[in-house]
This record gives sequence, structure tokens and C-alpha cells, in this order.
Amino acid sequence: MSTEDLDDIIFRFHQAAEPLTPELVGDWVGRYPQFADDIRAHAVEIVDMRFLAGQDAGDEAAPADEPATPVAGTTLRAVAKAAGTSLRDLADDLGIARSIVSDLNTATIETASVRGRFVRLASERLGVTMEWLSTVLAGPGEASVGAAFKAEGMPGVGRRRTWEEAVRDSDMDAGRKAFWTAEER
Amino acid sequence: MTEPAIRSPEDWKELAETGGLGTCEPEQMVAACRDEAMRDGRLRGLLLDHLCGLARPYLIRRANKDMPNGGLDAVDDIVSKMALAIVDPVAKDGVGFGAAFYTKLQQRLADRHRAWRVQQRRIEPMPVDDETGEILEPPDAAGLTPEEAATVDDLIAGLPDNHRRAFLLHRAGFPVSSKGECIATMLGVQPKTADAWIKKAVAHLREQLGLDR
Repeated sequence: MSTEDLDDIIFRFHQAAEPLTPELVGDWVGRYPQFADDIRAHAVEIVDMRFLAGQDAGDEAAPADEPATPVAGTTLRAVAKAAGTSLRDLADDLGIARSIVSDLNTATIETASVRGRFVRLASERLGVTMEWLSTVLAGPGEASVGAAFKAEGMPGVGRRRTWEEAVRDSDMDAGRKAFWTAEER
Repeated sequence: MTEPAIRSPEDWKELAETGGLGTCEPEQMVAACRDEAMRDGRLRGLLLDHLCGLARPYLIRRANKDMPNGGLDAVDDIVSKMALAIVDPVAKDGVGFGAAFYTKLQQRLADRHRAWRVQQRRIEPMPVDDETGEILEPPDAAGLTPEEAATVDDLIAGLPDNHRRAFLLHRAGFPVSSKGECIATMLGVQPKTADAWIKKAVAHLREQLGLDR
């Protein structure tokens, strides 16, 4: 059989491996004995990958299981990392200025002014609920590295920019600025 | 089963502009990218960007971090080839992504893992008694209870590759050796080797859990 047929068979095996059991592997090996080694090797990889992913394969559209509320002090950076990305890549994926995502991480943007559009799109990208992400954004954020050298006495909350100010001052073009400042219906 | 909504390019444009792509199944987006009616290159690019944004974290979570650059090189390569296949009308993988987006990604990552292992050819030598030449068995390696096994995922992730894979197959119900599908044949090793790997994994986990007296 050609290599192309092997690929088709292995693809169908991956689709059928829900769940992966010895009986399933035996069934497929019995049907395609000439590809037994490939089927078994892919079975091992499927088991390993699912473990590494830390969840059952299948419903990737649903948000990952998360506690009802994030742990106090959870930062946007931590949420991004848990989703397998970074603040920079999150910004690039969403098509928003990196400075805005960075400011959200350090809680230097007025939470109440953050557009629902951003919360919705970011939560989809990060695989969390909007409510969960909103709680993270309302938190104290990540401490700025420079703050320790500037503060005298007890640290307090400095003036936060509004979402509009952050978008206006960013390096995005006019179209993107309009997109991110628009109110969702 | 409800048939997926058939969307026109105008529908997709509105979804892209209003941030609604997250409400659509990736298979639908793949089909839209491959549709002859999709002539808006910018719109196709937006759909592809969204699909890449779904693919990358899915793969990162599953990639073996011992691969070069923590697996990110493989992830980037798979995502890049995915995008090319989706827009290539004759690419079989394009059809595959349209049929089962995440399953096709899983298959391609499994291919990369296999190729990497072949390159590595990492086979852990069996511990052997110097005097008798007998394969050494780890002492008192009784199995974990289901409750103990359920709390040790972090410890399992830290096991050597072969031990982890053997243990995971064991946990999935595969026998060490049998006439049917078994861990030994699936890993391509002798039954004694597979058995020793599992016992070593269990012994290590029990030690880390403080279960051994």
C-alpha cells in the first residue's frame, strides 16, 4: 500500500481513538496488520500527548476547567502562560497593541473602561470565561519592576489610564483604534 | 445532528470584523478558506490567523518539551504547514483539517514525536547484576491505588520518557505482555523491559509520595 493510504488510516485511527483502549488498538491492528507498528506507535503518542495536555482530547472549544474565581493575585501574564502563550503573542493574536496588554497586566488601565470586546476575544483566545478574565483584570496586576526604586513610604494606587487613552496613545492605526474602542452591541 | 450553518464570505467578513470568529467551529473556517467563493485575500488571512491562534496552544500543550526549543520549533512548523495546506486546493491535509481540525493537528504532532524519537534513538539500558547478568528488578514495586495515581500527574510528567510512556499505557489498561496488544509490542521492547520500566516508574512514584516504609 502507498504511504498516502497509511496517512489516511492513521488519521482515521486518531479520530477513532476516543477513548484509546487495548481492544481498539487490537481491532485496528487486526484490520491493517501491515501498519501494525505505525498504529501502535501512534497509540502510544496519543496516550502520551493526552497526558501532557492534562485533559481528555476533544472539546477544545470549551474553556479549560478552572476554579470559580482565580486565585488572588493572578496576573494576565500567568493566564497567558497557562494557555501556552505570552503577553506579546496574545496581543499579536488579537491584533492589539502590545503596550495595552502590558498595561492590563500591570493593572495600569481603569478596569471599568476596558471594552467588553477585548474581554470576550481575549477570554476566547485564552480558553477562560469572560467572568474569570474580568476578575483577573480587576486584580492588583503584576508589580512594575521600577516601582520598588521610586516609592517612598507605602505604595498606593497611581492614576490609571482609561481604555480610550491607552488605545489613543498606542501605535495602532486608526482602523484598529476604532475597532478596539467601539462598544459591542 | 444539526448541520453547520453555511456562511457566505460576507457572513465571514462580518464575523471577523465583529470578533465573532470564536463562535465558529474551526472546521467551518477551514472550509471557508478553501471555498472557491472566498476571493478576499485579507479575509482569508484573518481566518487563517484565527486558526493558527487555535492550533498553536493546542499543540504546545501536547508537545514533548524535550524536543528542540521545548517543542516550539515543531509546533511552529506544523502550524506553518497547516496554513499552507488549508489554502492549497489539492493538499490532502487541507481536507483533513476541514474534517477534524484538532485530530489532524494531533496526528501531525504524533508524526513529529516519532521522527524525533527515531533521531534520538533513546533506549535506556536495563540495569543488570554484574555477577549473574540477571536484569535487576526494583524492590517492593507494588502498584499504586487509583487514588494515589490520580494525584501524581506532576510526578509522572517528571519520569524518564520511556518509564512515563510505559506507565501511562499501563494506566490506560494495556497489559505488559500478551498475545494481543500489549505494552511490550507497542513500545517495541521485550516484555521484561516493559515490566521493569513500569515497576521503576511505580517505585519512583511511591518513593516520591512517601508510601514506602
